[in-house]
Amino acid sequence: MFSGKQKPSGAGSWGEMPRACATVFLAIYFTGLGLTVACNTSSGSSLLLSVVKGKLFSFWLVPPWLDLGFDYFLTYGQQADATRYLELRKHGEDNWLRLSGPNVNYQQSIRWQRLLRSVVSSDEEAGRESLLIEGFSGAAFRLCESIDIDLRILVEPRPERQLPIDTPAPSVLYEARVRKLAGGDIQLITSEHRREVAPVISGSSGA
Amino acid sequence: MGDSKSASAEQIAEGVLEQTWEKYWFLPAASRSLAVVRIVTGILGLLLCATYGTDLSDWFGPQGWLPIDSIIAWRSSFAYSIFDVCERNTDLSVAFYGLVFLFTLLTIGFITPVTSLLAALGWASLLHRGPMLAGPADDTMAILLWCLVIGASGEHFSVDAMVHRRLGWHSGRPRVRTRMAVGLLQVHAAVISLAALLAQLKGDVWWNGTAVWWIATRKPGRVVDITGLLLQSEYLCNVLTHGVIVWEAIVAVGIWFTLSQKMVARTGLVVWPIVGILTACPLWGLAMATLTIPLTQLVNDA
Repeated sequence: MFSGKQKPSGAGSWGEMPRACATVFLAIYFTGLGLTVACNTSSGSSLLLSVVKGKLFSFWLVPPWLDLGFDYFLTYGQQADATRYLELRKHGEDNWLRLSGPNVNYQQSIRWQRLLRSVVSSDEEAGRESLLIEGFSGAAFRLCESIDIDLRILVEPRPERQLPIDTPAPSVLYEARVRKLAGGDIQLITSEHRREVAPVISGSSGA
Repeated sequence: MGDSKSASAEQIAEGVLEQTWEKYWFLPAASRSLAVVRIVTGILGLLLCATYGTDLSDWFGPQGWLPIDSIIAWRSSFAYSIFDVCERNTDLSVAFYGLVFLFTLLTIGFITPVTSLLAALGWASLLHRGPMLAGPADDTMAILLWCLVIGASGEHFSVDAMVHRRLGWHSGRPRVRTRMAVGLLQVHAAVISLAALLAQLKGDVWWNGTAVWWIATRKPGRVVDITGLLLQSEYLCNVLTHGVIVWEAIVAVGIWFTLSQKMVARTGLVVWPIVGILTACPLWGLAMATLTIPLTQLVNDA
């Protein structure tokens, strides 16, 4: 490949061996780039591509934050990307404490939105269920000054493009009671009438 | 006779492909425009760091919303973050402001080969500490930083260049690694535009021309409220929505042709930030504009 006459030459040029090595590296990187784009979309990816990417590319593309799909759909006009709020209260109390309203600064609110989206979407992902809520529990207990709290995520449906703008009332997207049991285990009760069999999500007997 | 003709055609095609590849990746390039990318990336890094700064301990602190155990269980097993070992708020602040300091050094171009590498590692580390907080601007920032690690971005408009001049060292000559960095920036600009375009085209709102309305009604991340304007004219809403799609398609294709490359890149300096504002991702718009700075040929690389 590098035996032709018209090669880049002169000061600063590379010899054949470095060029060959760079070509191989670029070819491998571009294969990885293609796979990361294919495997990181909201549409999901085939088992074959996932396994190939996972075995051959993830271990060196993940650490430098290069395992990216660039799946920036920005909006599909659905609830999934509408504004969300996190609210907390001591279990049994009436007043909710809103933590991620739209009045905080620009990037803070946008990162909160990503976090809340992850909380809801991860609830349906195998191996990630309740992980973030479990993480939330420490900060939530501290804020509510209680080890038995209610937590909910509301979504604010967006108004249609018509005058007058009629913003629908927020609806509850996720609601759970989180409490610390004797021994320090955290229990997540998403359905109150089944609280006796609700899962313990952390601690010695947790997931 | 026919066989020899097709064989020679194959050889010619192979030669053209080889020459194009060689010229694209291995022709030494001057690094003034990459130095501009470095400065803009450094400033962008500082802006992105500022978006973490106020909430750092709320998110990552010992009493924070994202305790390390949950994050380790959440993220890939290959991920690692230096912030994982920060168990106290003080450690967290030291690590974070260390990264801010690195971005400052990168912006002014001080010991650039080292600072660019450390900034890239530090940035990846910060993102791995809270992967679910990262968005398009953060991802694009990582790409920019790794390209700066590859290229010689500190040979112009930098403290390094001043020191080299004072010491009488010869620097700033064309380099292959600069050419590779510029090439990688170009490839990623096209890939990101194309991937975003494909992702958007899966949604009805990008086809029926209302996507910009839905984004504008979302308060978090909104820089300016254009709902009033969009209410006045449905055509305007449609034009803006389709405009974003068309622009991404133009970038994905247009930056590969000599005729259109410079024009697309220069237009991008204005259009990408506008796209960023319209889509409530202004820093992503800036990062995308930065990717194609070398293609604008506004900086004299001769």
